[in-house]
Amino acid sequence: MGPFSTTPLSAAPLAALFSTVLSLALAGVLLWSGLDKLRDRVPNAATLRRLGVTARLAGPAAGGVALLEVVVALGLVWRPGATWVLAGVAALAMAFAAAGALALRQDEPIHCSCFAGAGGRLGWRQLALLPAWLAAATWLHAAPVAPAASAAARFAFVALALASLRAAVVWRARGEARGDRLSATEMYAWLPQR
Amino acid sequence: MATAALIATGALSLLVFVLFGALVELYRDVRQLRDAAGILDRPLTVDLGPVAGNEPSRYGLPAALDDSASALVLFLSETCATCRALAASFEGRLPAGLWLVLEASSPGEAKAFLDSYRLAPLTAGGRLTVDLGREIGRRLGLDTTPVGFRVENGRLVGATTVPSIRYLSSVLPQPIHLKTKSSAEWRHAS
Repeated sequence: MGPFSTTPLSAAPLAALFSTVLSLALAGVLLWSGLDKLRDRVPNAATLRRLGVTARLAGPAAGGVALLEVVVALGLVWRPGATWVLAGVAALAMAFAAAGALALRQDEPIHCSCFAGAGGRLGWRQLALLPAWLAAATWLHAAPVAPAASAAARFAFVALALASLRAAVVWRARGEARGDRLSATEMYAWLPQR
Repeated sequence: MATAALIATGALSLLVFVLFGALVELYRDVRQLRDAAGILDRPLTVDLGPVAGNEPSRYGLPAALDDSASALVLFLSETCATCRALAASFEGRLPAGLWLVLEASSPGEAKAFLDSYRLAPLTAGGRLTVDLGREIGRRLGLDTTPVGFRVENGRLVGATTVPSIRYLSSVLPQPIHLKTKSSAEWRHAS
């Protein structure tokens, strides 16, 4: 065998790698969304109310959805192939799609409270993403999953990635706020002379 | 031990994530307050009156502006603090499309202002005019600074106050870059 000969890659490690990346990506999305909703439940409760949930139930339902997102996200990190985790992914996806379908039936557009209000309007996007969520859950059910031994490392990786992404958002917001402050200082200097 | 450290790292990172989320909200709140208070780059439109549509040179501004496709003439005053902030932001060089008029009460005051902001060499280029005794401003009916007059196709078309450096950068005429063909494209075309 010469120095430049290649060995064909086995499909199993690639599938396992893809499963790991997929489960971590899904976990990151759900953790981001769930933690933001837990931090401030009011926008999500308002969205649920606009979808027809009663005022009494909207608050607890908003908290429940957020908690479920976090639990399922942690499940995707610690037990990516577990049936209850994948059932949770499917249930959340169907709940999001149902909310999207309900929103499309309303006369007025409903603002999505996903990702701290940065998710635009509730509707077609949630419906369109349903097959993708279900396909991901099906893949994770069928494909080999990462060993449980490395779960703590995966958890730390996802959490650090989320904190880093949020840090970038904070840094940008800080720059804008600094610009606002400097502009305001200049305006204060100008106002008394008008 | 390693597992516990990794879990602690993850938990702390999630805590930081949540706290950063609250910080972003706080920044948004402060911006909303600034907006409500009217201190967020809020320029005031200056009514040009009979000046609108006339050539800049009629009021004592440089004649070259009459041939300008797009320009901003910024009036600064030696006594205005925001004008000083704007002048300092130029760092001795005028951005493309910007013309300056400095209103000054005396040649000495004008020189002191231009020297402090390294603007004196720009008087030779023609894009900086010193308006001694506020003659040009008076002809235009101007009673405040800093104000930017927009010139389009050689005519004065509008004016606003310039409350900040950031607002000034947003209203400066943007240069139009023509899309040029590479020599290979020219050969192919011919």
